[in-house]
Amino acid sequence: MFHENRKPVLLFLALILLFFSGCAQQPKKPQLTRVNIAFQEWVGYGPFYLGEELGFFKNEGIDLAILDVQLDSSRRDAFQQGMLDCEAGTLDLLVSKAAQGVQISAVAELDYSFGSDGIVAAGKIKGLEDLKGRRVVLGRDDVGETFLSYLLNERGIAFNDLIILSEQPQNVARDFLDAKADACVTWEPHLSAALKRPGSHILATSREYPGIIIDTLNVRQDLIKDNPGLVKKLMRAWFKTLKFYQENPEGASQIIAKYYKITPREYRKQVEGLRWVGYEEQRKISAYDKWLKVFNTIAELKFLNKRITVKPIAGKFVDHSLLESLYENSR
Amino acid sequence: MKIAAKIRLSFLLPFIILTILCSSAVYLIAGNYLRGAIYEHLATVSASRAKHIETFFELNKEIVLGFAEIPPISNFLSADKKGADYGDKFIMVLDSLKLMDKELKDIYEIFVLDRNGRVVLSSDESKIGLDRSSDAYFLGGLNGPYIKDTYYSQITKRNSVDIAAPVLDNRRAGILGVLVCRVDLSGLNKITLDRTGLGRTGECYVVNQYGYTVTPSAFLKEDVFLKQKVYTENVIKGRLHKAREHVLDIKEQISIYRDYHGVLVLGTHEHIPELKWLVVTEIDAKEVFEPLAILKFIFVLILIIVPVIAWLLGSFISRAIIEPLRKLHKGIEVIGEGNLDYKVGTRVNDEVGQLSRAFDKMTNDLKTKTTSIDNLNKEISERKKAEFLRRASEERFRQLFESSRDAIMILDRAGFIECNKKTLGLFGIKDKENFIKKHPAELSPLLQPDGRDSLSVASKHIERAFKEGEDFFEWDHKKADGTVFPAEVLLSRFRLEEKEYLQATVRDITQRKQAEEKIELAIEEWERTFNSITDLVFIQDKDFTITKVNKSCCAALKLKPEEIIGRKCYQVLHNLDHPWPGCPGAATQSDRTPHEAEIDDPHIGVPLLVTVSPIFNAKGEFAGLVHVARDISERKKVENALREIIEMKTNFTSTVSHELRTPLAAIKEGIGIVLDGTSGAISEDQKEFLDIAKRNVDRLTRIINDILDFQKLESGKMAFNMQANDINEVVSEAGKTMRAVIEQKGLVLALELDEKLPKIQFDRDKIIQVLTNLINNAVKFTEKGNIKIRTAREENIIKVSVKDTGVGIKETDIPLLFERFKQLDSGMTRKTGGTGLGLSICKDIVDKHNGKVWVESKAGEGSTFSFGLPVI
Repeated sequence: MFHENRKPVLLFLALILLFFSGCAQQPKKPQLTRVNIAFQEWVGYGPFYLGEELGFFKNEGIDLAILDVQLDSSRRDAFQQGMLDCEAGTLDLLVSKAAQGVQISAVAELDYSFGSDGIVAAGKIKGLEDLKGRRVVLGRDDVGETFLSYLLNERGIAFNDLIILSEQPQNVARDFLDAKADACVTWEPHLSAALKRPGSHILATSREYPGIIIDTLNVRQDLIKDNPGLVKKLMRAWFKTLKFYQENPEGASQIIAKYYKITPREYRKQVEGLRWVGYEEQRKISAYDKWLKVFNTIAELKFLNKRITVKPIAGKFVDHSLLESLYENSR
Repeated sequence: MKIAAKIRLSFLLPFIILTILCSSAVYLIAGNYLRGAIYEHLATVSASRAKHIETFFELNKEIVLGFAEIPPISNFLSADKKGADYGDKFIMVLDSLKLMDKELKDIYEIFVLDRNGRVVLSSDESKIGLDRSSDAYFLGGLNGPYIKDTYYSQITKRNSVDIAAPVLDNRRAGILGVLVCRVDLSGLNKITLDRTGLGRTGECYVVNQYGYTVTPSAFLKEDVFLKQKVYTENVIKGRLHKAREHVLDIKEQISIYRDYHGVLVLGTHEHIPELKWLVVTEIDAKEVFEPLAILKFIFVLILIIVPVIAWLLGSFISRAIIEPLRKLHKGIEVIGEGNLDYKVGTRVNDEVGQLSRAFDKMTNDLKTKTTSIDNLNKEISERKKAEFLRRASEERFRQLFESSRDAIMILDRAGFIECNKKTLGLFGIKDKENFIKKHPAELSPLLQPDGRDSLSVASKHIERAFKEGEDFFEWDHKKADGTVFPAEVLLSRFRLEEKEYLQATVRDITQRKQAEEKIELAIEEWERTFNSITDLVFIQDKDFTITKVNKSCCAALKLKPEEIIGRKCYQVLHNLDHPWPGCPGAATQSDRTPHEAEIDDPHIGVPLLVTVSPIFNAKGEFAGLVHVARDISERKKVENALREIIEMKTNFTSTVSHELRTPLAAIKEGIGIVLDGTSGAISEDQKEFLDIAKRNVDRLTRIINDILDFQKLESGKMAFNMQANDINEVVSEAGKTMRAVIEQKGLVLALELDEKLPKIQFDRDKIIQVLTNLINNAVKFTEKGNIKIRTAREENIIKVSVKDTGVGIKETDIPLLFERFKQLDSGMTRKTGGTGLGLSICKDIVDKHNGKVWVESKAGEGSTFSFGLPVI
């Protein structure tokens, strides 16, 4: 009896299975860790978009959330509330935050400005000395201010001899174009924009003073302590992306350019004003010494300008150790 | 495949396929519809909440912008700080700020910064003068209306945002400063906590650009503000979608994912671009898809039930068709095996039913015909069988009849009808015909031994046999030659075809009669002999019951035989109710051997010598006892007289011996005194005579002592003091006593004692006497050499032997050694002196110890006298 009836039973079971097969769950995706990163609009940070889009960060298990937080004070607040994990930023802003007690550390150098930062002046101003008594627009307590005061300091000119107009960084070039100021301190892509003012010219750029404006990856100290592996993954993905860019500048710039609303060619042109720093270049201890030196120089300037009330200790906010062991125990 | 399976399958398959198709279609359509509706609903709720939140900020932003344009503030900011009315203006503006602060619901703090970021006016006066130039609201506010990201104030314990607006100069060309209002966000809580349209499990909350919650929800408490990180698929999607202003496809906005605490939810998000916020709305997937789950369950139920119903329906119909066919098939098989009683018995009215009924009818017809043929065959075979049995029975009967060792005749009242061969032989008649002609009276003498007329008695027997069915009797028959012989006759009646006959069985018992006569004669002869015996004889069985007694016994007991037979022997002879202890019969009873005893029971009156012998039956089993008793009263009288004479002799000897010993002691004492010289010196001759006299006195004393001992032993008057003693110690002492005597004669005494001997019971003095006697003998008959005394154990006796190297004893003399008053070689006796009682006394003493004395010796080679005492 069983034999002759088995076929329909099997058929019935097969149909039921078919009916339920649609209900099966899809396989789980690999677990990613969200890392919040914020930075200003600076072409040097373009590789973050590139790495994100190419999946270099995801391959390291990182879901990189790139946040548009222009104001350093906003980033400071976010760090303090523990909501922001890291930032790409100039060392001088690190000094400001460090002085206000924000517990973050620079773990790697991303790039240094090599002409992308500059001082643009109108017509009659020929040299830095001519800036005395003139209106200079810049981001208050921002990288431009640091660059300018560094140059003035070298020449023995007091910062307060100038009429400083504070603006949000992205609006500095606009104010200069609107002739609200006689000079401006800004960076690419705003530098190129400012030069569009008739009669304007460059007084100085970072090309002549490389090493004073450097960008670092600054990470919350508790994250470094609790999950150094995650930070290393982030750094590894960054270096991988850099390598990719250097090997495929055209393809890479096509991806990045749209985030800056410029053409890939323009992007490639603009990044000529900076130098990305590779892993091998900065893993040497001499790089660490440079960071400490620049940190201390900037701290000194900011203290003189009364932008900070205490000079932070460089060693507490610059961490070279992750770089040194970056590829240990890694895949 | 069988028909049943085909039918079931043809029901099952369409049912299943149809059900699956219908269920799937309904499920998919309903599911899609339901999902669509839910998505739409969620998106609507989410958008509406986002709109509310935006409105909240728009409203507050408007308020702040309004404040920034109030003339007194710009006037104050543009006023010369050194002016005389600056202080008044300051107080006036400050008061109005405080007033505004109080009036407004969500704004709890208002302050104004000058061009350099310094606080110049504040509803909280303590903050005036602080540098806020690096703060986002200042830098942001310079540029136009600015909302600074939310934060939690530890001081005020509020969730707040700062809304800043620039204060422009009167010409609206230059910026004088920034006005900042702090807005309490608890106003937003109402929006996110509202659960309208969110079901039981739904919740709505706001996540900032960093992925942290900034408002509470139905399940998120207020203390998670900026602490609960939300990293869900929905939030990730929301972050990636932030660039777009509108999400057109609703499905892109909806996700099914695990929420911040791991529960599977259906959620959507809505952007608030100005704040970079994400309004997240979620409902547990379980709740959302509950109707779908129920629907699925119902379909599964239907899917299970439908095939079962289809199966049952198919089974029912196939059964209706198959069952009669199966019965029919079975019927054919059963009928094929020969069983025509089988009925298909289908009641249905269809074609199959008609077929099976026709089949049943056919079977029935077949059965009817087959049965009649069977019956005929059966009858024929039974008749044949009966005939065969009858013949076989007759034949067997005839064989029995003819081969019988008895004469058998069949007769009726008229005479003989039939007889067997043995009958002809028994009566000496030639053939059967001659026999049948004879009348039964012709086969008997005229008279039977008891004198009755044979004819009339025979008729009576025949009548009785006819009447009672059987008669058995002894009868004198007569042969054809006139010889009469005794016979046993058995007449038995039988019925044949309504008529009664007798069968007479005659057995010749001549030999038996003769044997019986011989036995009678033998018994009579035995009785006579038994009664002729003068001894008292009776026979008893093994239970002491007397079965036979002779005349002498009856006479002696003065009883008749019938007064004795059947009674117990001890009752009759000893007047006891139990066997008499002294009876030798008891011993025979136990050991089955003859025993003899003298009995002097006062009840019998005379002393008897009773001999009892066992009787065994033919099988050799013990059957009883025969007692033969003889009167010994005369012998007893003689014995008693003899005993009196011996008694007198003993008394005489004893008295004489005692009387002799007393004067002998005095004589010995006197001789001793004279010999010692105490009574004066004596000559050698005198001494010699006195020595002779002393030795003879000693000898006489010894003889008397021996006689006394012997007397005591013989009359049983000697007392024995039996105690546990060490034989070696006794031997040593005897040796010590005798050593002087032995060495005086130039002999050597050697002791060879077994040290391991146990102590045994004996009379110490008597055994010393025995040893002394044996050593004395040895010394007496040994001239040179040694005397060796040895002790040893041999099984259960301790042996003591005294070995000498003397003259030895002739083999023929050895049996006489222990006889009384015997001494070998009388010449030697005189030389050594003695009564001849020594060894006899030794034997008596050892006998009293249950031991024995013996000697091993050869003439000229010395002797060994030994005695053994038992180890108990």
